[in-house]
Amino acid sequence: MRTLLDYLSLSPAPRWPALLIWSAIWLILLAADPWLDLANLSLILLTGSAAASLWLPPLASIIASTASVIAFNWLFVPPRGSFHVDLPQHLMLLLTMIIVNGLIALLMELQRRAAIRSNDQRLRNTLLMSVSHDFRTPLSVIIGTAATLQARCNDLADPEAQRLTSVIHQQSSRLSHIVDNVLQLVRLDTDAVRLKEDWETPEELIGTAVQLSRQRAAGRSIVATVPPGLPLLWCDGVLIVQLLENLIDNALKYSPEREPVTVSAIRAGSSVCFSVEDHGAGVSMAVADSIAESYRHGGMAMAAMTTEGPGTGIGLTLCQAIARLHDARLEATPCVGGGTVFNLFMPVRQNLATPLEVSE
Amino acid sequence: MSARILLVEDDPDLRRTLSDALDAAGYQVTTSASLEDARREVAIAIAKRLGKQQHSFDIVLLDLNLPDGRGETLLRQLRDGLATSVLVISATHEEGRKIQLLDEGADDYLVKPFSMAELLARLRVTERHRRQLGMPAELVYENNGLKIDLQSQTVSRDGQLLHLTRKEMLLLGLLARQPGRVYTHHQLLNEAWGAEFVEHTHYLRIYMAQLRTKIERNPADPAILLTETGVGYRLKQPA
Repeated sequence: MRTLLDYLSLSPAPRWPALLIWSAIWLILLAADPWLDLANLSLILLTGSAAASLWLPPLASIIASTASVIAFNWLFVPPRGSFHVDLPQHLMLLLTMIIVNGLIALLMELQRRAAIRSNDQRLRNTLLMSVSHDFRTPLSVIIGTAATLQARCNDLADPEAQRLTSVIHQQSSRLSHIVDNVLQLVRLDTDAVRLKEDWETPEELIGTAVQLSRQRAAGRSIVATVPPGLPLLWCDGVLIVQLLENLIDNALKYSPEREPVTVSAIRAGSSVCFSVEDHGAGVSMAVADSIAESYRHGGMAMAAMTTEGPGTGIGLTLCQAIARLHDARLEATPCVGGGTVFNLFMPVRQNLATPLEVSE
Repeated sequence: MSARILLVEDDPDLRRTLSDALDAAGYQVTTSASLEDARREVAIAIAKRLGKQQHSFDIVLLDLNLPDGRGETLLRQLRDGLATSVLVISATHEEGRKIQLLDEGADDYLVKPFSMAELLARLRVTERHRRQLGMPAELVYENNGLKIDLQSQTVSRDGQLLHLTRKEMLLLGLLARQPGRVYTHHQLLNEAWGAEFVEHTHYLRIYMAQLRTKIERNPADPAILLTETGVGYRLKQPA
C-alpha cells in the first residue's frame, strides 16, 4: 500500500539542490529589487520554482512555490510589508504565478511517471528475454535427446539409451526448477504479496534447502554447519528455503565437481547471517557485483541476467526479491583462496517476544 | 490382492503415464477425467461395497484442479462412503488448500511435477498404513543407527540409550507410528499440546530442534526427521 509519505518522496532524486536553488533565487530577488520592476521579479521567481521542481515531488513543489508567491506578495507587491493587494493587475500576476507553478509541478510528475513506466517495461522485457533463454537450453536438450531415443527405440536396453533417458530426466527437473522460480517471481511482483510468516529455525531452513538441492545434484557434496543456540526467525519459510536453494544451486554451478559447497549460519549482531560458499574460480563475482549494484538501485539483478549462464539471472533476482521482502540484506564477497560467498543477513525480530521457554 | 486405485486427473497424457506406471507396479487402476466422472465411480463402488460384490478403492489419487470443480469436494464423500486413503496431487501455489486437506484427513500429498519413484514411495507408505488398520501399529522404527521402540518408549542411537523428555518422546512416537507419512503442524500440536495450541508453531520448532540434536548426526543436514516447509514433518522411511 502506498502511503502519503511514499507519495511525497516518489522522486528518487536528492532534495538539497531544490533548497540551494530556492536560497539563490531569494538572494537574487532581494539584490535585484532596486533595479527591476515587479513583472521582472516575478519572472525570476517563476524560473526558480520551475528549476527547483526538478528535484521535488509534486505536492512539495506546489506547497513550496505557493508559499514563495505569498512571501513575494508580502515583500515586493505594494503596499509592501502586508498581504494586501491593491491593484487588480497585481492580483492577476500573483494568481498566474500560482497556476503556472502548479502546471510545472504536474508536468514534472507526469514526466517522472512515464520514465518509471518505461524503466519497468525495460525490466520486464529483459526478464522475459532471460526467461525464454533459460527455458530454451534445457528444452533443446530434451527435444534433441528424445528425438535420438525415438530413432533407436528398438533397443531400449542399450546403455546409451539409458544414459539419454537420464539426461531427459535431469533436464526436465532443471526446467521444473526454473518454472518454480519464475512463478514465484511473478507472484512476488504483484503489489499484494502476502508473506506466510511463522517462527522458523535457521537449522531447519538450511537442512531443507540442502536436501532439495541435493535431489537435483546427485553426487555433489554439500556441507551444512549450524551452531546450536541460534534464535528463531520470523519469516516465510517456503520463500527463504527457495532463496537458499537458489544460492546453493548457483554455488554448485560455479565450483568444480569435486569441490564441496558449504552452507552455514551464524549470529551476526542483530541478524542471523546465512552463508553459501563455493570454491570456484570466482566466476560468480560478476554476478556478485551486479547484485550489489542492483541493491543500491533497488532494482533487479539485471546485469546478472544478461551476462551470466542459464538460470542464474532469474534465480538470483528471485533471491534478491525474497531478501527485500524480509528486510534482509543479500551480498556477495570473494572468499579467501578463491570462490565466492553469498551472505544473507536476516534480521532477528526483537520487538516480537521470541519464545524461548516452552512448558512440558 | 493388489490394491485398487482411483486416479482422478484431467490431463490425458499425465493420466495415461500415471496409470501405465501404476499398472506396471501391480496396482489395479481405474481412471477418471473429471469430478463428475469420479463421483460416478465412487457411487458405483459404494453400491458394490454395500452389496459386498467386490472390495472398493483403497487409495484415491486426487488432482485438486479439475475442469468441473475443486477436488476437495470429493474428499468427504470418499472418506464417509468408502474409507479410502487419499493422496492429493497439487500445483506449487496451492499450499493452503493442500494443508487444509491434510488437516481434514487426506493421507499425503505430491506436488507437480513429481517423479514416479516419489509416487510409488508415497503409495507404499499409505498401503502399509491401511494394512495396519485394526492391527497393532509398527512397534520399532530403525534407520541410520537410530532405533525407536514404541512399546518400551525408548530411543537409542548406535545402541546407546538416549534421554528424551516426555514431549519429545510423544512427538517422535507419533511420527514413528507411520514412517514416511507427513504430519501437519496442526496435527502435531493438537496431539502433543492440545487444540488450543495449534497456532503455536514455535513450540514445534523448539522441540524438533532439540530432538534433532539428540537423534541426528548433523542436525543441520537431517537424515531422519525431515521438514516439509510450511506443511509439517515426516520421519524418513527406512530404505
